Amino acid sequence: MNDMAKPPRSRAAKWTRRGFIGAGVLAGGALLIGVGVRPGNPVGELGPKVAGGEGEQLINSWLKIDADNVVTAIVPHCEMGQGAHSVLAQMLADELDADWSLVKVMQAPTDGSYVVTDTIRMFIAGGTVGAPDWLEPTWNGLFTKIGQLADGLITGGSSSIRTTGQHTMRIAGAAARQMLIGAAAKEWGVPASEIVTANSTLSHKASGKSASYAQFAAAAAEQDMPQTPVLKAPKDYRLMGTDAPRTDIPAKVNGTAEFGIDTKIPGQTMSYAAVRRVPVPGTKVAKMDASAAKAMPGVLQILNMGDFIAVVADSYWQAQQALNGITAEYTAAESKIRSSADQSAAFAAALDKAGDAGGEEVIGKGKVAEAMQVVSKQLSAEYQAPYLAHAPLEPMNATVWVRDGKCEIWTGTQVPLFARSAAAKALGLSADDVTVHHPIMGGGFGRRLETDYVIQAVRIAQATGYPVKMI
Amino acid sequence: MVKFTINGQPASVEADPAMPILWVVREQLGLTGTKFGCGAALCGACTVHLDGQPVRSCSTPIAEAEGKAITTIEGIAGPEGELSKVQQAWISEQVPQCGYCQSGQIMAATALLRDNPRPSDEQIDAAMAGNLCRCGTYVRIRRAIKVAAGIEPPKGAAQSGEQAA
Repeated sequence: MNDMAKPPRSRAAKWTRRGFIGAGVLAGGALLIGVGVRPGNPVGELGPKVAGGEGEQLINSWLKIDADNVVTAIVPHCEMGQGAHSVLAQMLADELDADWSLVKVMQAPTDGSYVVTDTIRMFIAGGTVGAPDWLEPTWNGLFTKIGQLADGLITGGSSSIRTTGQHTMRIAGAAARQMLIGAAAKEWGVPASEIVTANSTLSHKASGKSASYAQFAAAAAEQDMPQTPVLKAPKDYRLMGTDAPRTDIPAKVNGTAEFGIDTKIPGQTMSYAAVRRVPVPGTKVAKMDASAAKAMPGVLQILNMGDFIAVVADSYWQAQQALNGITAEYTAAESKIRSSADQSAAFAAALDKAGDAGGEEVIGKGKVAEAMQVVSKQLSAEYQAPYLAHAPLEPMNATVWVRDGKCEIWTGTQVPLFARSAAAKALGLSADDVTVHHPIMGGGFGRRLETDYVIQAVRIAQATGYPVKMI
Repeated sequence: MVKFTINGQPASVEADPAMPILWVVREQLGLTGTKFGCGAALCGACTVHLDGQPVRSCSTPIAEAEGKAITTIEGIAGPEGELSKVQQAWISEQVPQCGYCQSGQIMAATALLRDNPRPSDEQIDAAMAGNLCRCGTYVRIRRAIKVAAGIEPPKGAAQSGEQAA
């Protein structure tokens, strides 16, 4: 990994608007004004997706400003309690000189435009960070393309701040600040270098002029993209490094925060699915007796999906009750590992076998063999770790509606584009026909890097045709 | 038909008397601030008040609410929406991370402080032991309870930011 202590270099250097449009890709670390700005249609192709609200002006891919001077940071990473939404917004807001009490966070849509280019780049080719300026457009374009091909909209590996934060959000904030200054300088007829920014306002001392960011948002979006957005030195940080209040907490103390499990679809009655998986992966339901369950109140459908059984009902509790009333037999497992004890035994056998073959030293520092000859006491120990459940408190769940050759999904996931592709594959649809909304998660811990539960819900919803919330 | 009050408002629902309060509140009344965690009264995420007493709504049948008052996280702010002392302390101490358990934590803490306005650390730990937090916010929870009780001052500058979209 790179030296993160080093302030990131401007990634927008030598990245002209023409060059950007020509590249035809959205570069994670560079300014995206080339895409966002169109005469008479300033929000361009991204605007309708992320800045459709009244009076909202998209300045670049990562931020918009509304008529009330509220800056909204459009954050590509997911929020599962780690604070990425707040901290990434904080990094952007600091470079922008935004008033933190006027900063909101918006989850970026599940769309290839928002792949986390810099996360991907730093994980697979961290050495390219710090490349000569003239190579930056090439690297940005390449890693964005790779990101799009690999569904690279991922939150994991404790990486959001050091990758997207340092190399995307700060650049976006700094560049937008320069564009606002440029717009004000033009309007006021004063040198840009004399304009000062603080708390979401621009001011020019000599002429006594001042304005809110909102007043210049539209004009700023028309500005040429700065060639070298200047990033702050650590001594000038106002928000970074401070204990700024998290943006998500107020909603989490009054019951209004909406997690995936809280999904409501306006105008639709929700149905609920409870599922029972086969006991061992790879086995199938051989026999199922659902006669008692069928007669239970609220039950709408009972589905034998092969690798799991699902009951769909008016209430989740009814679905669960009915599921409990279903008896089933399963095909024999081919795998020899069926329990934690089996797994431990398999590990022990493999270790014994490796030991008999002479073993392999995993860690050895210094003169281990010589030291072992002279030490007065040798310690030997065996450690075992159980197969751990990730156990986020919010149970795995997904709400899915499959209709008219399209699929809409609401689910907490660390990999929304993986979920989109997995759903498309399960349904035989194009990824463009699948929409994934991913609300905040009641914990992720890596469990939500998997899409198994999303696929289950998609298969159930395909069978029902009406929206189903699977828990 | 089961009749009760929900956050001060009269309510009557058609439901299987055995259906847990949790699902009536979430699905029929649309109040999703109360969370489903384990479904077995082990994690505390579903904690609500029944006539002021904290109960595990995932395992308490709606029949038990007949003629009683159910209070959920949506019902503990004041009449003008002003946050309760516990909620304010949860913000000043920046308690939540993922936030999924916090409705239950706040309901448990609210009940504790009503019965015991100046709890000791041991009393806090005992009262809160049934509410699990997978993010591990226990230290801040304990501190926030003391702040709400007036035992400790709130942390300096912390003010609420804008609500996340």
